[in-house]
Amino acid sequence: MKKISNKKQNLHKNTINIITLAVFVIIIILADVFLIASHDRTFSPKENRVLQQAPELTGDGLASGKYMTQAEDFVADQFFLRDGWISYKMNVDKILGKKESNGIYLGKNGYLIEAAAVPDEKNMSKNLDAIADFCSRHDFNAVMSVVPNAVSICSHLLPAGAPAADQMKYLADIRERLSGVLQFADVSETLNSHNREYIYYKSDHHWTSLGAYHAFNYIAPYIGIDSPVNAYDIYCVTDSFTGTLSSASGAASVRDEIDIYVPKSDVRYVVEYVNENEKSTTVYRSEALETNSKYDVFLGGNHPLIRIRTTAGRDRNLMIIKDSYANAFVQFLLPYYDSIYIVDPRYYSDDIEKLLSEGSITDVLFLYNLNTFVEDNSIAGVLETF
Amino acid sequence: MIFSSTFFLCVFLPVTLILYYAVPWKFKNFLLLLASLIFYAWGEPVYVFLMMFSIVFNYIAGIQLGDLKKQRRFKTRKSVFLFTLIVNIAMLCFFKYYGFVLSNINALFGTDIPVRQLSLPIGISFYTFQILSYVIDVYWGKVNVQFNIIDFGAYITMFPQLIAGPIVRYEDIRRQLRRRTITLAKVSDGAAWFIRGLGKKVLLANNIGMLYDAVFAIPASDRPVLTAWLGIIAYTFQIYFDFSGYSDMAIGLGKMMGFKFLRNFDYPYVSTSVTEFWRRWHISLGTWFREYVYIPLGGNRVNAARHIRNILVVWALTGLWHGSDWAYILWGLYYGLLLLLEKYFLGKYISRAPRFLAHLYALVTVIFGWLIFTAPSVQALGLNFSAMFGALGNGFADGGTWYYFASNLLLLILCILCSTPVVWRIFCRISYEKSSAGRIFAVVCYALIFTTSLAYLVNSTYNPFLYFKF
Amino acid sequence: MVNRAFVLRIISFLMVAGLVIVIIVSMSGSRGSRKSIDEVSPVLIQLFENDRTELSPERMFKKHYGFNAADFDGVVLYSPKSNMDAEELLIVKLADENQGEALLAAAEQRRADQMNIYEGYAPEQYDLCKNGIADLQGNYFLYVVHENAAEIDSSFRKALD
Repeated sequence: MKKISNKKQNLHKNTINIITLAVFVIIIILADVFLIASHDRTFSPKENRVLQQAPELTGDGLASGKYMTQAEDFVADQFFLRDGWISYKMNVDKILGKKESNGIYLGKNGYLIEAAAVPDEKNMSKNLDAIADFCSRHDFNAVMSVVPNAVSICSHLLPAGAPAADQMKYLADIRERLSGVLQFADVSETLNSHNREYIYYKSDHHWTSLGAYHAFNYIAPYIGIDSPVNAYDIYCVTDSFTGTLSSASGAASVRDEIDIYVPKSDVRYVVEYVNENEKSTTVYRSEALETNSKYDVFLGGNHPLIRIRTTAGRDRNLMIIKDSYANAFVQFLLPYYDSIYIVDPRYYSDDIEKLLSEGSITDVLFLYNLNTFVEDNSIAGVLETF
Repeated sequence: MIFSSTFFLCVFLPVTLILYYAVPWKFKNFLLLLASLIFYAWGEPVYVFLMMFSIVFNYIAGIQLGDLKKQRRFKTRKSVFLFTLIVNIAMLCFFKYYGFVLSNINALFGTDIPVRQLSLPIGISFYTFQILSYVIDVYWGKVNVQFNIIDFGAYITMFPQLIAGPIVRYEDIRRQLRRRTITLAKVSDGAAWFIRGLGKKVLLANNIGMLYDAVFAIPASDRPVLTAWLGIIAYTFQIYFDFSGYSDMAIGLGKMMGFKFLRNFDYPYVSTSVTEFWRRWHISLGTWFREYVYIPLGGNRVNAARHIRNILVVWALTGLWHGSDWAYILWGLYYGLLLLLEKYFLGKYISRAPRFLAHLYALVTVIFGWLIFTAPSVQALGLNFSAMFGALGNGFADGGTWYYFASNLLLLILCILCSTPVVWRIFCRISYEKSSAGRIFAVVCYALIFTTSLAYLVNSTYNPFLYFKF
Repeated sequence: MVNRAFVLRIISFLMVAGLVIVIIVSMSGSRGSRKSIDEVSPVLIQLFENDRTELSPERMFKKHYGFNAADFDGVVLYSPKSNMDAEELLIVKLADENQGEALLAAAEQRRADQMNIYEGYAPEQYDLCKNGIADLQGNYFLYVVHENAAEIDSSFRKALD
């Protein structure tokens, strides 16, 4: 290459810099024009969160620094073509070879897989103690099932070598610590044998109805169901479900189907959402399909207390103490109990003893997914006597 | 407020620059002062008053020192100087080290004095050092007294270097405060500096930082050898690109306003010795300590014993400057000892050794330095260290190691290349070619770096800033 | 002519003295309000009250924040009837100012827990929690999650004087 004179070099450098400056200025002007002119977006469906609006200037806001944080969030949240910038960033990440985004693995076959949660030992001991104490105070049939997550059941879908904490170890530990207290229905083997099926959503951290179905067949004998009806009407209620993992990771292209399993049986029932004071004759909520959180089609999402009364006439009454995994599970239980009490300790704060006697509870099922269970901080609070 | 945020880029910077360019010269420093105070108040709405206090207090001190010199009252002058020095240092120590000192006292004497630490004012370490450089130079008579409080305030608060340096010495900038030029060439060069710095910080530092976080989130007792090395190497890159990126942005912003700051980093990771590393790393801090501590103590023009003392004092202070914890002091002393070792013993071997061995030696010592620097406690330091040599029995590598390696390979390569002058040289070569293709390439590079950084900023809540605490 | 250096020296002494006093005052922070909680709370409750929340018994305070109400000079807690709603109002008069930090930490924990629950499910509630305010003013503490949290907080501060 020919040597170029310094003067020429400087000239070229200036040209480059000036055009660069122009690019810099134009992009900033564009951003500002949009910031001022565009209608403020209030909600980002893609991220499933409320976007920051222009904050109001107040003395307190300034002194505490809240105004500044909000103003900064405002500019980032209302940035022009925000979703476009985000997918651009996702693509750069992919080119860089990243295999996770915000703690979520970008797995094979389009699967998004949440990393395993590490147990919060302090709260977990409290919960386990409270469960042991609760079960020993009463003489119902106590069963627990803690469902491992996709990260360990479908580990073949993880990016190669992804460090997945050993959920089986956590599970064995929980089982060990509750031995003699209650019956532990360990569904991991069952789910493992079906792990090539569509048992977890690709874009959401929940299991599918199929996953719940396999688990139900395994758990049924533990909770006093000797001969489950094995006939269901299966309906696909949506094929455009994008779940929480999709929002959290920013990988928006994945779509899921939601199936519902309606047992073929004559038993009729009424669902009562106690705190909301609402009643319904179905466990499905079709209006949830119009929203972003389509998994809420099962029981309308999480509620402090749901009471289901049926015409089963079997003299058994079930209480489920649960997280959202149970929502897709309840549909399988309807034909077998006179009443089902569904308690979500994260939201429920009343006296649980009253429920036990009011409902003449014969069976109690703790149904959780492992990720939630090891981090839960609410079970003990509900089970302890006041 | 930090530079790598959409708010700074789209609101603060354009508004400030437009006003700055629009007002006549005699108001430019005032505007700079005002903008800087707002910039500071944005993050520290209360401590901005502390900063104003410092400005007025030291402005007054400067005038006293000047007057007393004219009156030839040198004794009084000395006591005024010492008083000013003590007040400045006491303020720094109070906000930065009060909690540290108190908890050490409690631990040592078993006392139970309640430690009620006030939060640390951002950038106090940086601006205190700038102030001291003025006060000391005035006392020594190296510079004249600044009678214009606006110019003085603008020097102390100047937002480009306010919270993360470079530490600009008064001597280097006093002429520019009165007289500087703003040309299109300078402004656009500043923009280019800024974009390069932004890219370093947002694309390289933040991304490789996630690898460091991931590795150090694994308990040391479960960390295989290779993973441990990967983690600390990631940190080595993170801290360099974070800090030097921030310095580049500061230099760029300075240029956009007509200033010229000295460069703060000069490819430190290509050094062949620790001595060389510290000539290339955070140059403005090294210079400051040399000028105001090392040389006044006698520097190296004293006998060996005093020289050793001088070096150790300077490096213990350098460590302490970075944070109020024993790990930082240890880190400083580690370098002090290495420098002494090189000076009195290793130096001649290093200059004779093959270059790649010297590089390796320098890099490894620096990496171990960062290991000390990041250690939350001495015990954790021991564990982290053991993990790097397999002393905790976790084998050489596991599935996770390859996962981290594969998913960061490209980034690691980029980091390695960008810590050497090679990329910059090739970039210049291509862009100064005769044909216009090279220049188009260069502009596309800048545009890509800028837009990609912006995409990360729009997306990201992950934007921690390492050098806030110092 | 008065000696400028002398005057300036006096000024700088005064400045330092002033700074020391300000720091000592702000660190000792004994700006306790003498008002009782029954005087402070009504105006806040009025701003806050809505049909989704109710005045809660003391055990809810224990459940959500982990403290015994009896250890404080007064506790008023409004929490949601259905926990699918996030609005919450907690006013506490401390018996001892040293309780403040622990209470602040508990409220931040409570906020984090709530945000955890709502994240991804209930973005509006999540946002409410995110903009919730935990404010420790001497011997009074406020934690409020509400659309007008900022307004309630500033009334809180006014009510203390």
